[in-house]
Amino acid sequence: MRCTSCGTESVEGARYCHSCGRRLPEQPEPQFGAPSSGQQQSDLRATPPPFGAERPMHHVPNYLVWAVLATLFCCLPAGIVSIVYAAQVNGKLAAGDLEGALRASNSAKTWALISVALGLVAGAIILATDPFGSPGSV
Amino acid sequence: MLFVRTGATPTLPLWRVPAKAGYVLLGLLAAAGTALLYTIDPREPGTYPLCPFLGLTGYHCPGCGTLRALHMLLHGDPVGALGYNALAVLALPSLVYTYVSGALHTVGAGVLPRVFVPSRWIWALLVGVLIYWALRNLPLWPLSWLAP
Repeated sequence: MRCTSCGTESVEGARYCHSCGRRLPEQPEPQFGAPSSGQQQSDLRATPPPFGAERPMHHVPNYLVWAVLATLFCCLPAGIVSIVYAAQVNGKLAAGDLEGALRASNSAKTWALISVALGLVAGAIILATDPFGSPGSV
Repeated sequence: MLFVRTGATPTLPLWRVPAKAGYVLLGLLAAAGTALLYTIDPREPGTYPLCPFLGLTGYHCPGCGTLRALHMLLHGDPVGALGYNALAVLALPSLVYTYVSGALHTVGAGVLPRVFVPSRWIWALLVGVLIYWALRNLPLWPLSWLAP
């Protein structure tokens, strides 16, 4: 189902949009014969993908751009951790594990924010102790 | 988005950053950074802070030289840019594409497809970054070319 606010396609049965966090309109529980969690998991991937064998139906942000930006600008290893979580998001999405993908997505976002915060703090400390010191900036 | 998951309760976002605001913010930061980098040369000391990792350890991180590389690109010297940080120059086109396709998608214009990167490519990127990090710290020609 599509979020009425930001237009992002959401997880089946989700009550909140995973992209913008707004509440989604109520929808009836989907019934596929004998409903079980395993059945629902396979239904998530039942429709043929638009292109590319591994492309999943759902978009879960992996914050890979932020991970790469953190690696290139913040100069701190937190960007590396974000890349690990970004890889987990897409791996779990391709495997049909939406719950796991959303969890990894949250971790990726948290670590991207941590690396930005650490970069700002470290930059401030360096500016305070060695103002505009030696050449060899970021 | 940070979610709290406790048993049967619905997924509750603790805070949310609307996607559009994120793209606008990132775009403004990029524009401001581009203007600053074009006008003030990061090869000259006096404006930009030293890399914290380099300052603490004396070793180059994977990001060292990014600002100087972008400055060289803005002044039309791609070879000079590669010499400062090849990783940053090579990553730039995919970063720009991801930003533009995502931003267009957010305003409802799905002109450019959003690329789903298979996870093994991202793992390969991670390995590549770690190898790059190590190699650019080796004082051996021609690896020293990777250092800024």
